[in-house]
Amino acid sequence: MPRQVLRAVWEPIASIMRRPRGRALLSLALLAPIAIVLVALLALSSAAEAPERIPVALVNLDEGAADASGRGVFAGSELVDDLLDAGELAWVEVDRATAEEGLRTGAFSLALVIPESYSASVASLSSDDPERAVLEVISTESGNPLANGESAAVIKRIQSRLGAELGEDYLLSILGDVHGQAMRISMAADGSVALEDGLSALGEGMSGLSEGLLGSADGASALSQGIGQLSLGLDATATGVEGVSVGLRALSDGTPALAQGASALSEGLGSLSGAAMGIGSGLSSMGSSLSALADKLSLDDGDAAELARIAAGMGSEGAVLLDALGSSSDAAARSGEAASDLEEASASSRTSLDAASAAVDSSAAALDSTDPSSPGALQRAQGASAELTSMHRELGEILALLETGGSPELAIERIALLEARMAALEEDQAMVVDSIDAAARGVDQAAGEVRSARSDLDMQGSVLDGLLAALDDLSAASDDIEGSATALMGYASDASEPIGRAVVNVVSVRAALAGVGEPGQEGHVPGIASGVSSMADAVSALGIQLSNEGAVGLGAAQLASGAVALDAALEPLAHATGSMADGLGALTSALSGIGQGVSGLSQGLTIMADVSAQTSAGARSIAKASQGLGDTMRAAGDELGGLSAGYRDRAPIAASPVGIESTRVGGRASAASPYAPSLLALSLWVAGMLAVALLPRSDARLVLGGRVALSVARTLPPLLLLGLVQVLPIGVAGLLFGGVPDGVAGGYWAVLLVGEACLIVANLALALAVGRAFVPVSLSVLALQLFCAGALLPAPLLPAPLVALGAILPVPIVADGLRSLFVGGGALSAVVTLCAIAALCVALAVGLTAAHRRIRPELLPAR
Amino acid sequence: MQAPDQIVVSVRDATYRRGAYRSFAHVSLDLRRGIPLALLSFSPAPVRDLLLALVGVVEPTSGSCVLHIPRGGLLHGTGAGIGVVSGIWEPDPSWTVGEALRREPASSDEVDDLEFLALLSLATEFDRRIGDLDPAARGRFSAALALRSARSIAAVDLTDPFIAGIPFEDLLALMGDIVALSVELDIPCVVGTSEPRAAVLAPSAHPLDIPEAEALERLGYPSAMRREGPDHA
Repeated sequence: MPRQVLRAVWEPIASIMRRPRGRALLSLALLAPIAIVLVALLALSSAAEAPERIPVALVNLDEGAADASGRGVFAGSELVDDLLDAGELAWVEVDRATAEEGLRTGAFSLALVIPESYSASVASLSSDDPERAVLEVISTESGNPLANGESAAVIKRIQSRLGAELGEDYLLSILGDVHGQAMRISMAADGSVALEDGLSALGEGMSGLSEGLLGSADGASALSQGIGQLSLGLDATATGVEGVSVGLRALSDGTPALAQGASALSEGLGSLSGAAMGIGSGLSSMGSSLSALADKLSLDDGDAAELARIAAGMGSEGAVLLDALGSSSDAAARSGEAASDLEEASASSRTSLDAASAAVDSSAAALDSTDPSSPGALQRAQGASAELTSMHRELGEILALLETGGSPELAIERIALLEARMAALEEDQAMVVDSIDAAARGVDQAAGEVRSARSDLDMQGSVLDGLLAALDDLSAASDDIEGSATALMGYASDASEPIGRAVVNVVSVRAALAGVGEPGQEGHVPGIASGVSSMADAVSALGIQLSNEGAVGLGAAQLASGAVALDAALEPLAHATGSMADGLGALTSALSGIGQGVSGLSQGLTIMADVSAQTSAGARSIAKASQGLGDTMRAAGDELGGLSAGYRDRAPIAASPVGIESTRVGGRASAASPYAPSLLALSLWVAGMLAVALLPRSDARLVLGGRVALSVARTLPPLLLLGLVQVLPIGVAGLLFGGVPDGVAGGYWAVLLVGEACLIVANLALALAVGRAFVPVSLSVLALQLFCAGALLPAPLLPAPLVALGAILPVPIVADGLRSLFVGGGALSAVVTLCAIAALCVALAVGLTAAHRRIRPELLPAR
Repeated sequence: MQAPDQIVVSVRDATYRRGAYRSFAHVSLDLRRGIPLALLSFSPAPVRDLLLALVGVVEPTSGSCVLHIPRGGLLHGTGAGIGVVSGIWEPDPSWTVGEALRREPASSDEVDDLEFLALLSLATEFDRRIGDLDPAARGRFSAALALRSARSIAAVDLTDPFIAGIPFEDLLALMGDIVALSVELDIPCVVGTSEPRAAVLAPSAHPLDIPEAEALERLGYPSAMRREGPDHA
């Protein structure tokens, strides 16, 4: 059974192999596929390995540019150098016109145009407004698709490489900005840490300030207590002053009497002085008279001496009396002035102390007040301390938020709220400082008022001292006056005896003594007696004056009583003054304490003011730092936002900083257009093959008759006619779907018709050559032609043999001619070449027909 | 004008044998102008092959076959005319006799063609499709094609399957008409047949093998083979 099957399989093959033509056909059937595969491998491997042979025009129109730093950018020239050095394609640097002409003629597969703005676009990648650098790739509508594809692939790789390089630069720029912003944010984070420290320090400062305020409040309380004590001291002083005032009023009441007494005494003493002076002059004249009388009367020496002594003593006493009266008058005047000054000083002291008390109360109220509408500095400081503690906690939460990668916007909003709270706190701080300043000013004012009161009291003390001295002087003067009066009374008494004796003695000389003439008459000479009488009257009057009823006596009495009364008044005054002195002492000590308290308070306030100033400065610094932090964060946010805002625009640029803009020239846009020439040529070959397969390849009768050329001449017309019919739908399909450009229809149809004729003749020759194996051989030849230059693969991609075959085989020539026609080039050369090939094929067909005129009977059907 | 007995084709010891295929062997003959030649073979292939050799399209594997006719080149050829040869050229059955005749290079116009066909009693078949012709008419059609195209030599194969089934009388009549017409037209003519009585109608008959020779002898026809001494080795 197997042997029968094997025989059944082998017998047909053996039958074929028994015939020479059968062996040839069998060999062809075995070798043709291998040959096709080898040719395809040769073509494709060569094409795959030789993109550097693809001619691509390189047009550099770049004008260069300058980047942000002013550095020149010549990316176009650099790109040209890189491309020429890399040699991935057969770059040819030409101008645009040459490139376009080369594309039309097929000299270039593609053209890469570097535009004028290429460097500017590249330079813009490092700016805030990047734009994509665009390279223009010009291709032809019907350029060889594989060459275009290979070139496009290389250009894509170039684009990718450029994109990677420029994108790296661009991303480095962006990352640099981001890094800068990150550094700023990092610095801001450091600043926030510093801010946190500052806030901590501020909290501590505020705590210290709070403690200082508490201390200040304690000081103020102590001050208030001191001021209360001062007030009490002042009250005591006022009481003392009031007592002094009462004493002074009493003294003042006594002072008029004393003044009156002193005035009366003065008047009396004046009159006494006049009398004494009269006495003196009388005595003098009487002395002279007596001297003369003595001379005349020989007055006893003893009496005379006694009288002289008396006269001298009276004169001396009179002088003493005059001095005492003068001193008394001065002391009285000074006493009055001192009393007036003391009253004014007392009133001034009270006014000052009242003002000091009011200032201290106001300061205490400014420092410590629980009134919600107007809280004291202490309450504000406590509130500020609590607010700062809350802000510190808030800032810590913000920092924790930032450290945990929270939203910067939320942190910025919370920082803004902190800023507002800081501003309010700063206002509170300013109000605390103002309150403390106001309290300090009130205390200063109170201290000034106290100092004024103290100076008034000091002045009152001195006035009292002067008053006491004046009173002492007045008392001494009164004693002197009284002594002088007593002495004068003694002298008058002592002078009466000698004078009596002298009277006895002088009776005789009465005439002399009585005087000459009547008084008032011319020539009157007073006598000694009258003189003595007058002097006696005067002395009597002096005595009267000096007596208790006399003016001097009365004055002295009144002065004495005034002095007594003054003494009596001075005693309580002394007590009051003593108590006032005690009060003043206490007041002094209180003032000293207040001064210390004020000093301490002032120091505390100064320190607190310093702390407050430092705290305020720290708060301002913190606010400024916070604002700077916020500004930094906002700036960083804005910058990052700016960097990220245009991400929809930037992302494509970052992803693909270099774009390719394709431009097609020559022909309508059609997806099938690049393949149309090859497909049309393929169709024409198939059509020709079918025509030759369908129609007689020769006129056997003519061949048998030896008329080979005539046979070919008769065989071709029907083939060509069928080919014409086949060309029509193929050409129309090409026009409809092949993207045949306008204005080339004539050339298009000419190429198709000539090409079809050529392909038919070529197929005819092939058929005459291979006989029955025509169809498979024709398909094999078609496959071979498709791998030749110009059909599917461009010449630069293929080895020399396939390039040479592409130049002489009809299908690549038809495809190349159509392609040239589609891109605006001429097809005349292709038509001429096809005609030449057709002629050659006709000759070949004739030759083959002639060769086939020989018949091999063994190949004919057996009879 | 060539001499009446001028040798047109000289065949000397011609043999065709390729591999297993064996055709004629050791054939030697002369085809002379004015002397139609009949080739007799009971096997059809040697007749066909030798006819093709005589018109110059088959070359013997040994021996020689020399045509003494001027060659007109590829365009005009040898001027040989050949009838229907199945497997080489067969007229399209859809053609009419006139159409087929029109395709012959010697055809000038319809009147001539019609007159020519009348010489072979085929004028009435002028418009008949070839596929509709009877074997006798097919035989005459084949002869007409050969004689119409021939300028130097005409070859008609009466053993071809195209005219298989032709009645014997018609075959003899056709043979006589071909001989007469070729003489009349002065066209060297060779006719292949497997019928000895038809062969003897020709002025010259050549058996291709001994049985054919013996058959001719039986008909009293001097065999050329016998005269020239055939080599059957």
